[in-house]
Amino acid sequence: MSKNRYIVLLNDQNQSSIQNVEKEFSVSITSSENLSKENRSFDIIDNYNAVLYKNLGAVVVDDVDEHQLTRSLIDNKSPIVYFEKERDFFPADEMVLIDGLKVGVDQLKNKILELEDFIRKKPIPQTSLTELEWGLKAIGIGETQFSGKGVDVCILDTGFDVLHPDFADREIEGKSFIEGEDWNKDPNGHGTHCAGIACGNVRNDTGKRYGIAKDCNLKIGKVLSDSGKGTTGSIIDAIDWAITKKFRIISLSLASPVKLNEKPSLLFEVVGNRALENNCLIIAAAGNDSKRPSLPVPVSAPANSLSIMAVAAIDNQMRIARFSNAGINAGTGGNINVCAPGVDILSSYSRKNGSFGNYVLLSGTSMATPHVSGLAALYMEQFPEVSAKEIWELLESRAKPIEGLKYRDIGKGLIQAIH
Amino acid sequence: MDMTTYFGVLKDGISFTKIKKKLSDSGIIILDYYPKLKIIKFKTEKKISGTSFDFFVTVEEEKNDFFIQS
Repeated sequence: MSKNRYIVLLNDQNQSSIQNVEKEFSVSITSSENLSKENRSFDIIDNYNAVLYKNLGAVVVDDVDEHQLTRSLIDNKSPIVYFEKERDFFPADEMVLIDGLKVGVDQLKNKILELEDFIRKKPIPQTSLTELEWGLKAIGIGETQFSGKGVDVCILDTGFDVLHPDFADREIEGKSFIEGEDWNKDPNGHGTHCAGIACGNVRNDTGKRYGIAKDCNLKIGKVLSDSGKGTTGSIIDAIDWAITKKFRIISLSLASPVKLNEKPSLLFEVVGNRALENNCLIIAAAGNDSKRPSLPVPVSAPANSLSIMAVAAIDNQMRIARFSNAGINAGTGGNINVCAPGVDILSSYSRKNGSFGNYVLLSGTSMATPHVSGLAALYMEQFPEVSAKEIWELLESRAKPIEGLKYRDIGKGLIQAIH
Repeated sequence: MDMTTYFGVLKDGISFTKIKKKLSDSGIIILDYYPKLKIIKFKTEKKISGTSFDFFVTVEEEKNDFFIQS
């Protein structure tokens, strides 16, 4: 147990004053004149006694009652006029050393942050991924422990084949916004493919995973006819339905082409903002109208609205897909936000129509978009308190640039799972 | 004359119930109202622009050229 040691100043050092202090504090005071090699001050003080330094008029005393000392100050009969607790003093150079260490730690922290940022932002080299499920590998899904559990993901597309064997045990909610066509059938196949990328699980033939958010709550809105065409009305109807139902993510693998320098639709700008206000993130395909490398075309509507996330497509060699639209209307609106795998993507398909049985390879920004939607669901599971707007920011901040590709074409880069 | 469908985005603070009659009196047929989005879907024979009504932020004609992107 540590003891407090006090320096006590006396107004006089006559015999009666010394005795008075000895009596009051039950100590024996030795004069400093009597100190020697054999009779050291610290030994005397440690033995519950005190040393009087006559030249200083001060007594060093150990383990006394501080309240009693305080009372002595106001007692006119007491010779004690001042006291204070003993302090520790370091040599100045030791303090400099400590300050230096603190600066060093701060610098190290900054270096670690810089290194972390550098690694995170380090461009992905243009290497080739050869497996059929290359898209999931490219965005790091293999190492994630999240599956979108509890997150409502709404695919607005051509409908969904609810009898697809991979979804037999899934509870799926849906609604059709196309007159005379059901949401739970998908003769086109496009909607089933997109839903499979965002919300599918593993192939029932090979057991390989092709979907991202396998445990999310799949919601289907049929906004495109069986021929793959839709109207503003069907899309707005479905977005209103999805927001009213409090779905967290709306995936739009559809687009309407825009001209060079055409301003974005204010209608969809408002829709995107009102979705975000309702904690719902709308993610849309940038469009497939480009003929690269000679002719990149501006981001289509509604992805060109600032309040809707625009997704470009890359291939398995980390090159921009030849068809993927670009942020070349940036002056009037219409940037790419991120890119995702969108060439030769394997996913579920309407039964018996697929070239791989219940599966098929498709290409398009339509395929890139559900990669982002599925990953957003994983983020939402991982960070349940984070708003839709913040999930958007997180998707962008965690995306990686790709060597040799421009911001105009891939925005912040290839989306990445957080491990 | 053919009817055209439009979407009008209501300005902040404008109540749908208050302008409903105004639109009807102008010969406009209201098709739907989306309270979460504060958007009115309507159709009319008249040519409508963004400045036709001061209670809309914007009015846009329905498009039918949204396609799958694969």
